[in-house]
Amino acid sequence: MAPSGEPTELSASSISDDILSRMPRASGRYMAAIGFFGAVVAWALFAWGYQIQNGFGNTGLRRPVYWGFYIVNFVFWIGISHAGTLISAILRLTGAGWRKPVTRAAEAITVFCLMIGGLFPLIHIGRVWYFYWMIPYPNERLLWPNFRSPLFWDLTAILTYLTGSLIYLYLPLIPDLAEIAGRSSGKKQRIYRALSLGWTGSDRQWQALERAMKLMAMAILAIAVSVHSVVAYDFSMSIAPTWHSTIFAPYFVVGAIFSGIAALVLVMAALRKLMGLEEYLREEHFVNLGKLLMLMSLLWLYFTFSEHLTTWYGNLPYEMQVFNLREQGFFGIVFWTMVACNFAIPFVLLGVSRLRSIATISISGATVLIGMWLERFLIVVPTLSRPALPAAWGNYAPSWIELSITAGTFAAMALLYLLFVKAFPIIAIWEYDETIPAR
Amino acid sequence: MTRQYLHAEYRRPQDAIAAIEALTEAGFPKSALELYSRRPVETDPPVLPRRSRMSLVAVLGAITAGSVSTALVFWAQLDYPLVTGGMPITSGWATGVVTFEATMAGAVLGILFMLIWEAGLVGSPSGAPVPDLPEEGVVLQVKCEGDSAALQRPLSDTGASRIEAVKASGRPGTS
Repeated sequence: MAPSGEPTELSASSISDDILSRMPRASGRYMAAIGFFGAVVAWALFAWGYQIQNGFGNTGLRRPVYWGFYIVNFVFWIGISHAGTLISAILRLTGAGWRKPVTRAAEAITVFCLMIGGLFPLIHIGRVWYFYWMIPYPNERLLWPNFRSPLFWDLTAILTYLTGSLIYLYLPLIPDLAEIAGRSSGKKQRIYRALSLGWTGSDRQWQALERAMKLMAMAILAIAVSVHSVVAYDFSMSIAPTWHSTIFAPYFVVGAIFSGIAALVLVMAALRKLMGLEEYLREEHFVNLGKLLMLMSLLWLYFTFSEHLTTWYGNLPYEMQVFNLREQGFFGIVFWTMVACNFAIPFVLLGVSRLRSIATISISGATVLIGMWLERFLIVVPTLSRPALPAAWGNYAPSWIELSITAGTFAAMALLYLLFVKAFPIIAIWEYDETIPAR
Repeated sequence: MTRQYLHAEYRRPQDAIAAIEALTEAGFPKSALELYSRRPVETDPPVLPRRSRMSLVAVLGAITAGSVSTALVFWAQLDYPLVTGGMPITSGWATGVVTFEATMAGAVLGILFMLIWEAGLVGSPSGAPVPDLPEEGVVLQVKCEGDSAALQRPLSDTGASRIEAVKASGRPGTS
């Protein structure tokens, strides 16, 4: 091994051995983490069951605020899902070499966030067993779903994105699955062999895979942009104050990429620490993502300013009621916290080069995630609290059910990720053929 | 004539590429050659170029899924005319999102199908024996009819560390 800090060439097989050896074993610490997050998820499932059994009256959702934490979480998780596929696809298409250790972590975020985010409309509809009514199939009552409803658009967009993201995650996993199969035996080998679909490593297969990944990257970019646009249409197709905006779709897409990068930074920092991936997830990867985060922070500020300026300048009474509510009292605190989290803190930590480090970039990622959750809350709740008729005004406070389910989704994300890194290499072995620094 | 395969192992991909070029110059068809490796061997243009219809099938999948979904939506709306907020019963604006998502889903499924087809996944249609890949290096597979002795020279001249003759049935005989 070369002296510490000096680069050393690792052979292909040593990189394979090294990455595979980092996959966590079922140690006591690992099982304790699984148990803890599993317990939180179980509690959230209990809360959901309680809501189904006893009705929506047990939540904080009531007239006029019918969309509360569930829709906030829906938009938040779908937003984060843009981490992976979008970032990975952009970097793949632009040929950014530094993406290689980052892409799989990002693609896994996408799939898990979509699975979690896609649950919220189901939780929100209450009678979840009627979900299949959304699916267009010939039925005995000769009914069809309302194809003009943004709710139906959500269904098609999320299903398409989930399908595409799963395939986009799976395709580059295939050679690694074959690699694991070749290094294991018995039942484990049979499972990985089956999952690798008979991969042999022929040039014909490599060429087909590279071609498929390029085409998938192009397709997934378009789908990812459309998905968060459709989520924005859920709001902007209504004529509720401050929602009926032409820039809502790009505003949401920008916010989604912003929160996605933040989530990726946090996940990478956690993986680096917990799995000892310091040689692979290096400072340069964090700095590059930090620069992207900074760019998206400025874009987010621009869109937020444009959105608020248009409302303020128009001075329409219905809109100003919501605008003023957001600026004052409790919502005012939330608003300025959001601005601090999404702009002020990242601007200082990422803008001043002396302050830029893995720790500060991770802190920025954490504040952005908090800020973006607050942004979704500020979009959903104040508008519904102040409908056009003052007599219909109301407030919203989540009950233990919404709080439990919200906590459960964060635990579910951690749980899914822990299970994923146990079963699959989090760094694409076949893509990683660079010089890595000595330990 | 007996069909058999030669498996030539190279420590460096560049040597295998040189062997492919030498065999091609000697008039050996590229269609009878295959390279096996744990990592992709990337050259521009590809050393063993292959025709692909993946993009075409992706576009066809997109057009098919987009058309079918649009037709379904229009037919269903006419079959069950639901009036929503004064909108016309059928409208391209209101169904644009569904059309787009179905179009993209068709493209994605087309790509997946063609990857499986062109890569020969889920069963190998070529029936060629698969060499054991070394930890480092690559294996060049040469398909030959009849006597393979004449082929061994250019393979060893280009630096093959090991050459193995394998009958189509899969029984090896190291030389």
